[in-house]
Amino acid sequence: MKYALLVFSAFIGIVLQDTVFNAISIAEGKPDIVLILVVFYALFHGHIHGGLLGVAFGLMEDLMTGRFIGLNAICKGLTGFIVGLMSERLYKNNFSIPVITVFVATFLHGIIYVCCGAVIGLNLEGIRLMMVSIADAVYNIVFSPFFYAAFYHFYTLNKEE
Amino acid sequence: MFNNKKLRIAAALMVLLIGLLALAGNTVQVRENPTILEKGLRIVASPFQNGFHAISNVFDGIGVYFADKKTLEEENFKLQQELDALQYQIMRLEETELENMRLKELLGYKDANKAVYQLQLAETIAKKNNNLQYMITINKGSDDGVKAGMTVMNHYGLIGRVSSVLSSSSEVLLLPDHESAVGARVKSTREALGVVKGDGTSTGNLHMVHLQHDAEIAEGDVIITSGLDTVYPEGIPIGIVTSIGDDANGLTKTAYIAPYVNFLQLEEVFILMNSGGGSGR
Repeated sequence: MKYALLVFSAFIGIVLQDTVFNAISIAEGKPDIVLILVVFYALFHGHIHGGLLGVAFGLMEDLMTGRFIGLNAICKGLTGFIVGLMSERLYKNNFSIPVITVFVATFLHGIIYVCCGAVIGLNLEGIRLMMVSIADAVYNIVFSPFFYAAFYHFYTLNKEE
Repeated sequence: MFNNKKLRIAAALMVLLIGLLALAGNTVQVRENPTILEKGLRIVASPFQNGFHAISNVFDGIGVYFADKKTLEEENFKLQQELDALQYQIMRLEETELENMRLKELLGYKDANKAVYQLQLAETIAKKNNNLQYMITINKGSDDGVKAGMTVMNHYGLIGRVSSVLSSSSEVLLLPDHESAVGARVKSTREALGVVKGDGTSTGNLHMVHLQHDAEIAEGDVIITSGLDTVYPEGIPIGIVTSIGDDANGLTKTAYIAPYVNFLQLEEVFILMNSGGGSGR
């Protein structure tokens, strides 16, 4: 049930990305729900699961809306993996930690996107895309508390069980 | 030193990374036929896209509401509420009026050109415009007779071509996308043959390359499709020349073009049903 909800959230997040979020976009930035889900999952489940979920959700995003199949899978997979590696040293009960993590992870995701895009031969405006990443990161911070509350709930529930 | 588990994880990660990079590299080119997995997911997503598209129109309306916030603050509470209601109604009416105007213009264009073009009206339901890709999703698909390669335009000019088709929706590759290329010429002289491409930036501007160094082309010239590429029909307006520069090789020059179409605000488009289909680049 929990995983079905996670997949459904990612699916809706991907659809929103190309529809509703276009209307609320500021400075070309938009919330990236899939990235928020991957970051929080990695925070609670570590680098292996975080990385794998990142690849799976990134691939779903590529298949649904992308043209470059695998690009989002790499970027979200690596971001999930790196956040997961850091997660062991983070104190998850402090509310500011996940918010800062989402901000940093969004920027990191932007860097990985630019680098991987360059590797596969895309003509990119790196600096502009980095600026867009900052706008994305601000949006993600706004959206992240809702998702963190859900993740924290599930996580503490599992611990108690 | 790494232990075995860490080594295995690192090796698996490298293999996955290289595999995905290779996959992404192989899909850089536009594909007319998405995989079954892509088709399935997009068909499932299509009704959601339609629904959320309607919601995004409401968000556009909220933007207008906030623009008028300063004026509303000067009113008392009762009048504010009344004003809110009236403004919302006006906004909806204006939106409808604008839509009517757009549709009238499109209809007029369709009627005026029915002898030449067989046009089908479609609505944009999703957009992807960053400097990686310029694409839109429209609400017409193979059920409506749409085929990959068909030209997409509006009453201002050329927009792009259908790149892939599902049963009830299609993806359109826009002119500013770095994968787009269209044979073009100067309208007045019928000379100066070249190829119009996206400039690969977020501006949505175009450039016309492969122009001979002595080609007769000047600022302000209107650029139209030449029809020589066999993909796009002849005579569709593209844009106006804003500047011209010599290429480093000294043999050719490049003209920079401001397109007639605003690629960031595409709402209704025409599919040219008697074009391209199946002959896409």
